[in-house]
Amino acid sequence: MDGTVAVLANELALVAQAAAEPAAFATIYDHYFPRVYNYVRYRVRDAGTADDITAQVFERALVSIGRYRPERGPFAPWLFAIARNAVNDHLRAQRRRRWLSLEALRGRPGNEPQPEEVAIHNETRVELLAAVARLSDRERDLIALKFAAGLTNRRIAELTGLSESNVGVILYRAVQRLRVEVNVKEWDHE
Amino acid sequence: MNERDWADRFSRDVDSLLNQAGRTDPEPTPTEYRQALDLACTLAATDFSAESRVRQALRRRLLNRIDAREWWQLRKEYTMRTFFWKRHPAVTLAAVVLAAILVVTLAWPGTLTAVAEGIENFVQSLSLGPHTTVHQVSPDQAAARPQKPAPATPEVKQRSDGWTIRTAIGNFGGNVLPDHDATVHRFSTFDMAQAATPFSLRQPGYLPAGYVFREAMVAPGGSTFLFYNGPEGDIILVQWPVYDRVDKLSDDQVVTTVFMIGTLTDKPIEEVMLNGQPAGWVEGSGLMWEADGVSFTLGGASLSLDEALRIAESLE
Repeated sequence: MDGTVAVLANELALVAQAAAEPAAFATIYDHYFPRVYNYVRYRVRDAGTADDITAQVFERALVSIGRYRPERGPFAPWLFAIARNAVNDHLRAQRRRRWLSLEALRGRPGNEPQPEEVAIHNETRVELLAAVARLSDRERDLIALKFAAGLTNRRIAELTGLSESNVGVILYRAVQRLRVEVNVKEWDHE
Repeated sequence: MNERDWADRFSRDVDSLLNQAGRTDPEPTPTEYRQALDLACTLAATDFSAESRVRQALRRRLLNRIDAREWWQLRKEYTMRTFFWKRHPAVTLAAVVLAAILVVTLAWPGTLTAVAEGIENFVQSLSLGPHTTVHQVSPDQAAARPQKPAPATPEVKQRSDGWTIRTAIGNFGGNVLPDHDATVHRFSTFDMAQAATPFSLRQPGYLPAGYVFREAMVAPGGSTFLFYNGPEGDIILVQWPVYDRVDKLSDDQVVTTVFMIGTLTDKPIEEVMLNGQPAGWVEGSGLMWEADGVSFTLGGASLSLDEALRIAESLE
């Protein structure tokens, strides 16, 4: 990925066929998988959970894609609304489990990296994920919707219920906080 | 430039970068701003998806599901089931009135809970959130519990251990704790109902032509029923607060009481999407979903799925 948001040619036609035509769904899946996975990955702590949630997202999308209505908005925000809800459900359930099993958590190493994280050899990625993980959940959500999902501030505002200008300010502040967190020299081309 | 100006410019620059248009303004900018833009590029360019262990397997599984044989088999079964109900109007009537919503409190099981527990095998179960599920029971189980025809106007009953409201879209009920009031309060305005409810009620921004608010009922625990009167019978919006209550008994003892909603029906449950999350549609009983700690049911005797979705999307 070079950071630019790729456009899927004939997206509407593919979406219309996807419920019954494997090739159409496969094209959509191949195009959106990295963006959905990256969105989820920015919001959860480990790769295994990101896999589970991404699978849920595409399962739900397949069940419902026949009901997608283009007149109500583009396909990408529709798909990322599913992704966002899947992550929110997971985080809510995780909070509830924490309440229910405080005893079980005692003695478990707190912030040890998961095996999947260890497998990421690229230090930049690890550093980036660690910095994003220190943001608030709302900031992580917006960062992920903007940079992983590639949505415009307007679409993010529609999904989150925030105003468009508020989305811009929160994103700006979050990136500035991240800039301080990570070693900015790595990306400073000057 | 103040922070909002910088944020606006940042948004424009980021969108230009994401759309391959490059940076918008050649004016010199502070180092911190350029670093933030570089970081934005890195955030957008970093791809974690290569670490996924399910990508190809998931792709195969989803494509297999669309595979003609499996897909047509599912559709065939669904069509046969629908045909069966249409050919048996007496059983279909039972299906409408069997729909019962149960407040299941783990600590104080009561009559309604017993009904739910008495049914062991469900044809289909659909989870709509942490506290909301819909179960389809078999025709045999439905036939074993004959019900009266659904009333045209709601009927309220209160007992010492609970309450029921019979409506055109099904029977609703809940239990109360011993020595607690089981009264269902009725209100003529939305604002009066809101004042009697411990959470923020929602109401439709859209209703089909000719529909107006008629009355509200608030049951013990805050479960609220809004009735809208119109040319095709009532449209009913039910809102139930659902949550886990954690009571600490001592330093190492915690009791969790789960307030959740279970719906029984003997009709097929169709999974649909509402605002990006799963909802369940049962013909004649309505649309069910969970959001923000509230379990919703929206239905009307003649309400179509498309209209129900439109109303649900307009809740404010």
